Amino acid sequence: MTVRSVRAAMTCMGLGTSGDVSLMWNVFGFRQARPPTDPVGGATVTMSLANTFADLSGRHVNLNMIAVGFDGLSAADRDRYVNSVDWAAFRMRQIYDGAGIGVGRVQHYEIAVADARGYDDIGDTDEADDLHDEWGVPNNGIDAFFVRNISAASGGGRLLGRSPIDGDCEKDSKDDGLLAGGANNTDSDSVARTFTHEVGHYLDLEHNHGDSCPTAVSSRRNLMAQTRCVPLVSGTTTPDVRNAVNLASSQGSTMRDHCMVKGGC
Amino acid sequence: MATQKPEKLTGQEFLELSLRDGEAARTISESVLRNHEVADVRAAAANLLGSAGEPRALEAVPALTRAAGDPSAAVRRRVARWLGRLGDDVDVLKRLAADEDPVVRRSADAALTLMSYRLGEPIRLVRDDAADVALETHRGAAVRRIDFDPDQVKGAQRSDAERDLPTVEFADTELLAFRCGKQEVSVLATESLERSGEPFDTLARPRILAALVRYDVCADGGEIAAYVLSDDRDATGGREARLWIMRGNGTVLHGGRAIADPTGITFVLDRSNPPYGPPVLVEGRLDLASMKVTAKGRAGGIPEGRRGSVPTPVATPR
Repeated sequence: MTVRSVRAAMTCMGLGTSGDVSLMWNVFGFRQARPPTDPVGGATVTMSLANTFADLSGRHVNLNMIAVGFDGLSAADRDRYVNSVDWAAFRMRQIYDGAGIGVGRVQHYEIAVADARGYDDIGDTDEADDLHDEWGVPNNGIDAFFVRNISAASGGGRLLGRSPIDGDCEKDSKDDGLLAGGANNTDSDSVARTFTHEVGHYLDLEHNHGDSCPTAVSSRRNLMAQTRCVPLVSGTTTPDVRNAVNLASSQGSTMRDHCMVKGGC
Repeated sequence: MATQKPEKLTGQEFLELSLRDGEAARTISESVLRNHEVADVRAAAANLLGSAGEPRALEAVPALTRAAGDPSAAVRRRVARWLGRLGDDVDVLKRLAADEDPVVRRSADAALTLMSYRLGEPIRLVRDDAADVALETHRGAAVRRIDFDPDQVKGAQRSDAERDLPTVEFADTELLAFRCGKQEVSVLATESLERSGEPFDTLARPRILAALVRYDVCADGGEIAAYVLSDDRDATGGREARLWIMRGNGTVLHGGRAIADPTGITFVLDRSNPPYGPPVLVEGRLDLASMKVTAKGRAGGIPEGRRGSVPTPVATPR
């Protein structure tokens, strides 16, 4: 079957076809029910329904974007970070398209500060593990947790995100979720790269280098290169995370074999 | 950096500095912890200080202790975590364990527990959250064998473990490696096992017997995923101690027993705390003459009826 209509898309995503349908909310999966703004230049992005149908027709992943403690943010910070979450989903479509993996159903969930038992602020990797041990969405989407704050130290610096390599497909298993990012990271492109990088780990990708960073610029621009290896924006000390998102065909092949990647409708 | 006062850094600038130059960030962390007006940034500074490894982390204990009175629960919670690993001031942690904030209390409880086993004093023993969980196929996840392989202690593993817990010495003896799910884990013994020539004495007091060290790809290094703890809460004179696998935040994964005899220690892990730890049955022995550990085990999928909490769907925007 090939997805050619909104009705077919809704059926493919398992959402049913009754009631009102919002393209932005139901089909594209934007929490703001409108496309996110690009952090560079502030333009609103454009979406293609045909591309989204094509994603669902081919191999794709479903995503559960779980906001933890966003009610503890100021209104301005919450709006900014919700845009970052939508931007991350949008960038996921762009980045994974080249690897032959589409984005299917994107749904949004919340855990309020009052319910989060402190996990809105991830202070160490134990807490990151407990977060996806204690919470999960019982469906076939990858559980991606976006938390209010990450203050965990990791190796030589701060923890940005965390995922098991080759995450589980059975929910309530040990490795059944990933920490996608923290709202204290105010750079939307960094949030998007961290999220898509962690999804890569979940779908069985390792880093594309060892202790030493690769010498080839193309390898340093790979999505699975660590941030410390990413080339800098010209004339700055800032890693060019926006453009370090390439995936090799072999990486796409590895990910397409993962059990969280669904066959096309 | 030289031109900007630490307390004037924004949270994002401190984040970027710690990613770019962790050493520079640690250098200013005491000042940030003391003076920065944003609580999340002070909390991050506390974490950077605590994770600095020896000797920097130990030198930071006075600053962390002062910060136990910080008005922010986020800061007090991090301070409790690190004082449990680095310090020996029981009273400070007991005060934090009675904190008004439940998350601080939980962190301080875990820290007191770790301190108990680190110092060998029964200040706060592990809360027994493990239960007898049948080892059988559940929800399609079959019982699988856990293969324990002998492994040699690598310098990086020791230094990774000692960075997380600089107050404990890890033994230089042979260790075990196994896979937990898809994660490679090394069992790194502490000196309390290395010096267990008197096994009854070893098990008679709360002990950190070993650490489970795993490689974290995004940190580019190892970290302690869990601790192997023992205590003699049943007052057997060290003949039969309780055994626990506990995450550093106090979450119990597994429980079991360690039985001492004149030539070694036999152990079994047969209790679990789903969803954190799947059902397991692990049996093994430490031979004192050779200081070799052997073990065999099985793990048994996901128990029925144990599901995590479900987040609330975001309401459809209009």
